[in-house]
Amino acid sequence: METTLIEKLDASRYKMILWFTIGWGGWFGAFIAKDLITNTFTIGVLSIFGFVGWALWFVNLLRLIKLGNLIKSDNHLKKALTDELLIHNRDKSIATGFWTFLILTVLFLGLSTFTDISALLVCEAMLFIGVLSTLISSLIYYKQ
Amino acid sequence: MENQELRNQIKVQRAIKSITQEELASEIGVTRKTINTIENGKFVPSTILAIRLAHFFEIPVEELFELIDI
Repeated sequence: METTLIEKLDASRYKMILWFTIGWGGWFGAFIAKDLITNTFTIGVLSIFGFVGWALWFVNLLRLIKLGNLIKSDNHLKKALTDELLIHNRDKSIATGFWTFLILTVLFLGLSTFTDISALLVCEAMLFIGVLSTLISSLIYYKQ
Repeated sequence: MENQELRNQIKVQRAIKSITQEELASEIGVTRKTINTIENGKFVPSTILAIRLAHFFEIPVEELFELIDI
């Protein structure tokens, strides 16, 4: 009974992170793209796309918080669902995000010597890609 | 010394005890995926987890995990 619950919660957590990642990509991707596009129709489509992405992100954020609270309330679940493989994979994902962020900083720095880049756009792009790379890598490491 | 591989007897010990990866995971307090990755040599467990596994199977750690020169 307990075993099934651990595996069920582990699988749900993966799905929640997957939808959270898709939501983040849709929402923030559309948000950045809107700054680069002038066509009104495309901006309208991106707004809808962005809203759906935000809704997905927000719903799954709430589900992840709820799952986190459930795990915290039971010591056996907490031990099993935050075991050393999870911590190992989480550390690798954070490292992936860090290196992506660093490479992106170097790329933008290099680009700034040739052209003027909006500071806002650079911040948005770094936040978007930094978070996305961390999330995607965590999903990949989970499946390996 | 440089080319060594950690091999384990978890699959054999599980067969002796007739338990699944999921049941072992529950007993040890990890997920089935963790047991699966250790068993297949994809993940090297901590000393604590290795000892917990050895205690569960009632054998010495060095019998459950063996460092092989390759």
